[in-house]
Amino acid sequence: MNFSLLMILLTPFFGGLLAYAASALHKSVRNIFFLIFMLIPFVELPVYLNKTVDNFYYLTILGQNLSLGINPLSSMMLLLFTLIFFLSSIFMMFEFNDRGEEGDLAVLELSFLEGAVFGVLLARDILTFFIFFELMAVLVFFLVGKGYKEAHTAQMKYITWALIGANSMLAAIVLLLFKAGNIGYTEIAGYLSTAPTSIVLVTFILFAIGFLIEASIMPFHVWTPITYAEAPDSVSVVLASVVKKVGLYLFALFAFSLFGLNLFSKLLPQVLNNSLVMYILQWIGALTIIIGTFIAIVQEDAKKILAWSSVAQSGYILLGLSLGTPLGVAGGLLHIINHSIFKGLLFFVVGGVIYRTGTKNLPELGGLIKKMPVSFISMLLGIIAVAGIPPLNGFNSKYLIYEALIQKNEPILLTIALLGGTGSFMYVYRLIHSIFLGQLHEEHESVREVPLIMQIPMIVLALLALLFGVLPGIPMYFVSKVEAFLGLDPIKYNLTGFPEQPGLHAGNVPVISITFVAGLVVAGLLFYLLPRARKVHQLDNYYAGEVLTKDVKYNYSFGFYSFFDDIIAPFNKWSVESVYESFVGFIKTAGDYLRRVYTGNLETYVSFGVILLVIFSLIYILGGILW
Amino acid sequence: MIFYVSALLIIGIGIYAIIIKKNLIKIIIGLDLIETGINLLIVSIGYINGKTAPIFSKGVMNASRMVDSVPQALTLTSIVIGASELALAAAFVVLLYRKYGTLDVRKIRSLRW
Amino acid sequence: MVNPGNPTLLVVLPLFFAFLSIIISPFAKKVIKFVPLVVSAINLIVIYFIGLKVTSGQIVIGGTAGLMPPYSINLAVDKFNFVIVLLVNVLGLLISFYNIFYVKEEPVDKFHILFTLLIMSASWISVTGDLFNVFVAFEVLSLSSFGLVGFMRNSDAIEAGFKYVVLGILAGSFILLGVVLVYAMTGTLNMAHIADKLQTISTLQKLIPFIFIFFGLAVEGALFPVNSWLPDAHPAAPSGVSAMLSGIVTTTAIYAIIRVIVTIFNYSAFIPYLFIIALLTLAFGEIAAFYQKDLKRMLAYSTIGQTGLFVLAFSVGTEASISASLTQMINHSVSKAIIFLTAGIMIEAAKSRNIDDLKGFGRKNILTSIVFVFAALSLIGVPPFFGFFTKFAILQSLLDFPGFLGYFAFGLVLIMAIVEGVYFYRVFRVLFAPIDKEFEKVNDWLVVAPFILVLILVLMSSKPMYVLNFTSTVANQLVQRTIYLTSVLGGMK
Repeated sequence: MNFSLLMILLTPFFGGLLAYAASALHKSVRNIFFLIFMLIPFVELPVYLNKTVDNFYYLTILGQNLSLGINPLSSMMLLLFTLIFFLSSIFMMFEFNDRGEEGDLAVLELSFLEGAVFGVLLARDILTFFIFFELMAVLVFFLVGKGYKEAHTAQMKYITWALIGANSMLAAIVLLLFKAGNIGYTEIAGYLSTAPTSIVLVTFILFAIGFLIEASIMPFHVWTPITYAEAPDSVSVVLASVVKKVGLYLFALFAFSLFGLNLFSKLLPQVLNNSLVMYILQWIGALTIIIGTFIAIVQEDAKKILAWSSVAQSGYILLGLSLGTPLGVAGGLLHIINHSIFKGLLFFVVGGVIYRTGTKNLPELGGLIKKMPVSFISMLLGIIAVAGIPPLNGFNSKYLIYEALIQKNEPILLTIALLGGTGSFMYVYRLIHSIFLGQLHEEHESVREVPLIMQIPMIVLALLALLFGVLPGIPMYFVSKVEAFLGLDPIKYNLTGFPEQPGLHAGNVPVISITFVAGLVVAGLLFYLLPRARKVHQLDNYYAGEVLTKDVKYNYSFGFYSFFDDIIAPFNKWSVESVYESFVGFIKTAGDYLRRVYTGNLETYVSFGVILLVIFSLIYILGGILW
Repeated sequence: MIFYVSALLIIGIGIYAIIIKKNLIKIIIGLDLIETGINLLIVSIGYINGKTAPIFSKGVMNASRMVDSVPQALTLTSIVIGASELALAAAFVVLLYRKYGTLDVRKIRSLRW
Repeated sequence: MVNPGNPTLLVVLPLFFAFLSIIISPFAKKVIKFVPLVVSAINLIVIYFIGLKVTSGQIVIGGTAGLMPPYSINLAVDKFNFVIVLLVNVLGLLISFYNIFYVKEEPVDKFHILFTLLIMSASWISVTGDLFNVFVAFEVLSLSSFGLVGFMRNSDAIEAGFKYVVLGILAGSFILLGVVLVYAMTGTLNMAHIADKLQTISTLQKLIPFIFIFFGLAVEGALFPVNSWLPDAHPAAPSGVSAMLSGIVTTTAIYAIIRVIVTIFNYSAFIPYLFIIALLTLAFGEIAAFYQKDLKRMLAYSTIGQTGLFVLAFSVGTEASISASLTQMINHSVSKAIIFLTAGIMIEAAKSRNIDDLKGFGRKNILTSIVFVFAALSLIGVPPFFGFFTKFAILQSLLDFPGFLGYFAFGLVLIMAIVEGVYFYRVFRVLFAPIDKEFEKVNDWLVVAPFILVLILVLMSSKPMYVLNFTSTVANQLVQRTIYLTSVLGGMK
């Protein structure tokens, strides 16, 4: 059956309305409809996997034809996002199970969010994507509001930044429409190739501000930590894995397809074999990596660690994309896929822990490995992926980015990227140690593993991470199509690695993985066979001259990396957030003075009017000098 | 000519009263002055030298012997409107006095910025 | 048989009903509640017949006293008038329905009579073709709104009402002064005839009468610097009246300004000054709105800001910009009316006008909150609502303004859009926050009127081109003054 693009777009909206209406009957009816409609795009999408469709006109507004289209980049991301939305909706059913009407609204809003995301990805002109982009912002605002205690602060921070981004993009869109006369992507690209430098630069910066705010790149990232942390857990998954990627998707599409690297090279000075704009973006990406990683290390809240980690990983993607070479862009695109998978996985695990224990504060958790083994294994796979170690998927993309940096002769950026990699291992280890290892708190004695259905998202993503890690050919299939679409030479790969690509030294990832696993097996065998170990109870221990008691926790849980905190303390006082706070404070006082023109005094009101008359009478008397 | 000047003068006094005076009743009287000045101005604009009042009467049956009648109609309308507006304003002043106990406009300032 | 498409019916019938109500009010207090409803319904029927002719390009003339213009006072309805009078009466109909259930403070029947007069005078200004008629209609409008603002008779209402009275009377007097000076210059009061005669008078000489008329209309029309009464008066009035004031009265006054500038004076030289006034109105309105803790006061400042926005669009001067401005006027009137009506429901339930006291209202009363959210999103200009397309059209037309000022206005509008968004989203956040207190039960019928209006809004959002195309024909007809002049003066020359 041939599904039109419009049908794909409308499915989630229709599903959401149906589910909301069904909630009047019974919660389970609503859930069934919800899940079914989340699954339908899986059926509709495969038709379009290999196609590039343009010009599906669906509306004519303001003299312009709004159209939908699909290209390899969109179809790759559509598949990924459909999966994430489906898994997140499973999670949402549990999370909002006993929240009554809030749950109904959340189901409606999540479905509509999926529809809005589809709209952005399926857009073929600059007006359509903007309409759906703003719709996304509204829906995220309402979804975040259903979260934890500080959710209201998060909402206001988010929407202020979203509005700044949206209006910046709107300025660029109106400007482009005014100059180019048409809104379609291909027509705009045609106009931009012959436009004056000032227009190209101004519109690119305005668009970039909008996209990078959504993608939480420095210095626009200040809304991300609090929003990801305070949103409900299913929504956090969607935020980190989908919403952020939409910003990066748009950035990739606009930078390569609409503007084009050649345009930048032509119009702007070259710095070290990159155009100036791309070079600045590489440094911004690197800065995001390093600062995000370092701040993540010292966090005490589980979701905040993941939020700052997302910020840092966005930096990797931006770094890869703005390198502009086939290797770099492939690394960036592959990291988009990989990051969505492993970050989603980590958020699901943390969400499950919160679902069972009721807290996300790391010092209050510990020792859950015996109670929640499936979550532990999933998180273990997740953190190996974040750290970029084979056999999980993070290795492939990070490896490509490192190699691309070497190829481009960028030692400083390479160092920063590697530092980020090491740092990421530090914070994910903190995460798994504080939650699963260490000592169990008394109040968590009765904690069980999350319900079976709720385990599905974690298991699916963990297996997917493993699969994509060992057989990178599967995601690379899509990535190479995208590279060809964006006008770059796709890098050569096969199912198991990159043996033919000149410059890459790791030929066969499964071989590496098997070596890795073999090493672990050997270590395990040695541990169990050599008879020097004896199993004892955790508390039957002797530690620094004292016998342990149950109420004193002997594992590090608070101030885990306090030594690290001391090292970076002098840098902590330069905070992007405080710059914004002082700026906002300044604007607030200025506005406060301005609004006192409405004094409440009748005389002032009347004299304002009289002054107006006097001014114009003077103009008349002076014979129209100001005329 | 003198009528124009005096009308404008009356309007000016009215505006002065609204802006400078603090007593509510004086403000209303200022409004009344503005209205009166404008009415005077209207009638003077309609005056044509040597003609008489626009009323059909013995000896004056021809419209060419009358001053312009349109401004007189305008003035009548305006007087009526002015009277009703000032009545409403006076009603407000009575209510204000009951609530605040003062006729000083500077004290009635609770709604601001 | 009376021609049902005669514009004079729009004025005469409501007036008749109003006087009838005053006479029978001691006997039949219960019936008076329905008078404004009946009046606007009849008006809509008349408008329908007028509309049939107007949309085909004609201008409908209604003469009085059996004579043709310019010897008589006439009413003339072209497309611009048609849009405004349609807006007045549709909103009047739905708001009167709302008022039937909302107004509980004595004396209820006087309220409805005043409301009928308000609808009548707003329709009257929109259809008249005679300058002095504008003055009289304006005065009736002012008088009825004075009474309605002070209706609740609490200290807020009286203080706001008094300040409004002083400024309103001043405004009316200055309009009269301006009209009289125009009469002195041209010898006639008929709009088309004045336009004809003013073509020969120099721009500088036209300034003084124009500025008096402009000043008077600007007081009612929420322009800086004479809009200071507005943030006090709109909140103090009962919510149905606030909706009417913000949505209709302001728009009608701006309509009158536009009619005066474009048709009568043809004053393109004044437009740069209008641009600056509009910029200041927009800036001060939105900035002041951001700091408010009182919901209705915040909405009143928002009205000021939005008025600045569409007058800004109008003062760019091109045909496209006039069309965008008119569309934004429609969007603002409808959205602001819905917002005020739902705010009235919320305030009834929470017994307080403070925003923080509304916490959690949305979780119990989902329908009212969704209506509020839809209308507010349309006002801010979030896609896919109608307000987005109007905002887009305005931004497009702003780029046509020559020089640095155009880009500055463009940037300012976007920044003010951010400010506006933030304070409305703040209200959303409070609405859907966790509940911590009980809300009173309000009459379920109250939500019907805003709901129907929201349906209209959604309908417009789904077919924005329909409205936009119509407004560009309106702008087209407006700019070509000669059509208006020759139609009205048809008998003369």
